[in-house]
Amino acid sequence: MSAEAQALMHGALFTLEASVVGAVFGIMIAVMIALLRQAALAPARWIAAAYVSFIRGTPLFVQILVVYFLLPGVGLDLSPLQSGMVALSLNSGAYISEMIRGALTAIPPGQVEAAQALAIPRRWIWLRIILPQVAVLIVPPLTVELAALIKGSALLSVVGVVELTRSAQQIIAVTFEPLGTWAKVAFLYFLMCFALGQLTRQLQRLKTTGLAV
Amino acid sequence: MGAWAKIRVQIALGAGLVSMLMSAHATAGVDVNQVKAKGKLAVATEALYEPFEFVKDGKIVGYGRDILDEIGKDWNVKIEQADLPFGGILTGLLQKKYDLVATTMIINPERVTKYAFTMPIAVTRVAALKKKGDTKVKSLDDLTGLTVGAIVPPAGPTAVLEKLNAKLTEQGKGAAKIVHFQSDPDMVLALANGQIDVAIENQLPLNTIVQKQPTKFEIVGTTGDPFFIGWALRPDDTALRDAINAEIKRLRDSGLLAEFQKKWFGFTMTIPDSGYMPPGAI
Repeated sequence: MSAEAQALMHGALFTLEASVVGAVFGIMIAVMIALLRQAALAPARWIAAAYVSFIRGTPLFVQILVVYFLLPGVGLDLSPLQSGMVALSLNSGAYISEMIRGALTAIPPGQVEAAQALAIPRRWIWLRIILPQVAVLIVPPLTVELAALIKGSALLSVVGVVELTRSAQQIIAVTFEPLGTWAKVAFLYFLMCFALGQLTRQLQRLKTTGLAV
Repeated sequence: MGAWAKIRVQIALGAGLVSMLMSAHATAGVDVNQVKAKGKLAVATEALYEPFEFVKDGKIVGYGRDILDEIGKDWNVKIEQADLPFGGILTGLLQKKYDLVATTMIINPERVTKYAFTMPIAVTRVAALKKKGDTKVKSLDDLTGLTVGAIVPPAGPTAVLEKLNAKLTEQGKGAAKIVHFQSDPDMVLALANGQIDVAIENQLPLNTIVQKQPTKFEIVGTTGDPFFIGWALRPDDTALRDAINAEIKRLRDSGLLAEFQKKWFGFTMTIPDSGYMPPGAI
């Protein structure tokens, strides 16, 4: 493998690492926020709503800078990669929580009423009736969001993470041959997003055949 | 809430964040003993600038790195060097993400009152690059009708270009348009594509570009007085700055600095250790 290919693969690994961590923690945050938005306690709902509207109302670029430059002020001095992962998780968490909320409203309230009439416990209503359907409904928009996360991770270069895009810039700064390098970079991003699409498609097939929705 | 009110709220939020960023200034200065105790010198560099700093085989190398390595050896500390885009590099310094910005920066009057600059590591001029054989571009004394490329402000050469262009515009010989770029590779690509007619930059990296692609580009000429290139520290860290100055002076006096210059630029330069700072410098 040439030095250039090696540098690009190295960068792609950072892109993948940041995206996977961002996706896993993003989904966890999203579930928490979605539950908070259903909470009986009004301040909990307000906090969740404020969080989502803050993330939606600011660019990911700014969020990355805020995490990297402001968190040291409260004693959390993270490395560039760590701050990038935190910012990606917080960002995707807000968006995915909105998708969960959308999926929740798509479930007819009659189902819950019927379950309540049958005296099924609240916990079971959530675990056996609502969430499995949400999981199916959320797959298509989730694919879009995770692809956006992979592509958005290019912004991590601003705090010094040498991910795929930055490693390409480093190569071009020496070779001054941008076209070939950017074509390779585009192909690598495409591969990652394509693989994600295939994965979620399989997942969806599994889910829809397993459930009568 | 109407759309405009929403936008206004967001601008206010943004401004609040920026002021928080600004108010979190450094308080106590860092000195060389603290660096030695930590065992590492945290450095930020924009590594897109051959021969000063660029990436080869996954490592930041170049003239600057050779100097840093000598400092690291003498202090017995590790050099921890990160590659950051120039736009945010000074913010990160003030936020104490690293202690030294070792990237090619002109020691100019605007900067020296805000940051503690080291003594010069190099002397250069602002020069212009054009496509080889392009007859439209004759000299830097006449930019009439030309589209001129420069790095986004506050890049040093861009400030020099703006002053030059203001003077030329008075004489009716100003540029048609000035276009800004994030980095040299972008700007050189635009030059090759014909999107700009001439690119303004520090002469030393332009020399490297011409050496690598002698059939494609040539240097038009230089403008202004020679200027010094130095590294920046937080304004409170003058003790650490003085220690780095002592190291640069040691390297200069031992002839090692001249060796590095020969290796990376192909010639040697005279580096002063006094009288290089504009008035009002930290």
